[in-house]
Amino acid sequence: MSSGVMVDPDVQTSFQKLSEGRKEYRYIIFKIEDNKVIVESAVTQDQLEISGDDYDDSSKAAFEKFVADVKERTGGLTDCRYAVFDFKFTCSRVGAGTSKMDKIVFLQICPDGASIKKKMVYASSAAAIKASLGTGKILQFQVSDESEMSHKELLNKLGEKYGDH
Amino acid sequence: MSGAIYGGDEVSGLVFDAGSQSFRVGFAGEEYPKGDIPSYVAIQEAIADADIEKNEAMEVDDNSKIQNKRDKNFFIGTTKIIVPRSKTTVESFMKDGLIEDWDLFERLVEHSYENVLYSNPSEHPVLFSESSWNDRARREKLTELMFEKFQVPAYYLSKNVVLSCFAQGRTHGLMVDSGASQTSVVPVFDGYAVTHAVVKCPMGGDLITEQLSKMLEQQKVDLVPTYKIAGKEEVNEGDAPKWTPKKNLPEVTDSYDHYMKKMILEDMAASMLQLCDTNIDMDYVDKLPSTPYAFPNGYTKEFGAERIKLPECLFDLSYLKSEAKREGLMTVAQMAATSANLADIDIRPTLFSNVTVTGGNSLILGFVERLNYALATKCPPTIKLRVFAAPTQAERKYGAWIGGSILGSLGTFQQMWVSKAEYDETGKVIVDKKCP
Repeated sequence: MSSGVMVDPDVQTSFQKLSEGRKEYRYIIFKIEDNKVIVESAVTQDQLEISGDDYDDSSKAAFEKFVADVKERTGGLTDCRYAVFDFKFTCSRVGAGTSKMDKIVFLQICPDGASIKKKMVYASSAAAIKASLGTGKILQFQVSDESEMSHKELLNKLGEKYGDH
Repeated sequence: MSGAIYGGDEVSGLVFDAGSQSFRVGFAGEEYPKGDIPSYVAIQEAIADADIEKNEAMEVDDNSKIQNKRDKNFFIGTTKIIVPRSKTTVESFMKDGLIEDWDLFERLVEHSYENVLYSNPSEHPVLFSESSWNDRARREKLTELMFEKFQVPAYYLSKNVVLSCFAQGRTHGLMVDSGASQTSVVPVFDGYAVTHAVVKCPMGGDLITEQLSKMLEQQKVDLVPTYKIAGKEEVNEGDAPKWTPKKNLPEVTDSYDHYMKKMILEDMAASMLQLCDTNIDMDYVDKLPSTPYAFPNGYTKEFGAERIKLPECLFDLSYLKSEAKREGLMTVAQMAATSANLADIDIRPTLFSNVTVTGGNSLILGFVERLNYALATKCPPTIKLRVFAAPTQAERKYGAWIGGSILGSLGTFQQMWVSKAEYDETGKVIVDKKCP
């Protein structure tokens, strides 16, 4: 069951710029406006202005900037958004030592503080945007409060999936 | 409240959410249902003396709830059911969360259109909710009924768990729905109910009221339903009640008496029951402050430990007051764990991290905390367990309806409806295609 909300073609093209080729974008935030999922902001690595290496701190600095951006755009987590983030991290695996990983995470951000209408619209339209991005390339997470969007928790989940625990 | 984004293209759809306790009806786009009609209907057998019927028909003529068919009278709506009548049985149209008595159901829908929504069925699209274990025959029958009998212009059928899941802003989750007749656990993944992993048990609000009634019996408390009482005097707590019975009562049926008693028990359950946060601890139980409950006949009694021991049966079957019924039952936590384990192993962590509680019976104080505690012992240690519940009572009770209300009001949802034209072309099987 889905809401029938459409996905703007820009969504796919921006996502390609994040996932393929030179990987221009680091993260993209999407929102629903006028019955369409549109790109709200797409941020490049340069715009993040991070000096350190992403693999060293497992994208911690970059992710924190992203979270701050999301919070600002949702008015302190009282609105919903979708977002994709290019997560660079290192993890250890048996036989392979530590390896550098690069995974794209899809976040469905529906905070408890958002209105029930917004939550319903975003949840029921999630299938459409996921289909447009192609679920094979992304890892999905749903976020309902700040703790679920913490760097530590995401890194844990990624580690569980790809690392050796 | 529609907000600037979605305003303007609102379709005035109707949303129907049928439960075993009540039938929620209202307009899509509104915050709460317009009507919360009991799923019980009072059916009066034909009386030889036609005058009595006529008199009664006259009385309620203004908003006529009486439909004569096969010489039976039907009374729908709380205010009509509670009137004592002779030869009148109180029956529900639902059984195990499914529509069982289609005739009664049809009357309820008619009643909703005429007396609650005041609207013409042929003018509004209708969104219905269904339970996850609804079968194909029933889905098609409902579709047929709505299009053929009520001539609705468009129709949609949606799983109630998915609606309540979406209303929480989630597309994945383990939905624990503790309702009146039963508790069910359904995993939802990517917006679809995982129907093969549904676990349900007849353990819900009705079981609690039954336990309460047994407890009162043991304590020799005479439960007098309101319809028998003409007047009462104030007495001190624990004293024998002084009340005068109503005279000239018609001879009512057992089912009516039972229904009236149940109403009191439900109120009792809502006002005094509580669950322990952890496994029941006798020290804590003894220290629990007692709460007085005033019965309709003026009798007041303090309840202490019972308040917490009674609902404990939801999480510990040894607290059930009848031995025979225990067989085949599962505690709420067992059901949740079983359901999650029936689902695919890859989605289990997601399910355990998004356990969502809905349903009227979950409003017992401490239900969510207790489920969290009991599940923690049953879920793998590496998994982060989270149990959620909607913040307000109404949201938890009407979760599925509210979800349907928002969905049905979206302009973009128009393309999802099954239209009359499509139904005419394909027939009732269209529902299996368009409403997964």
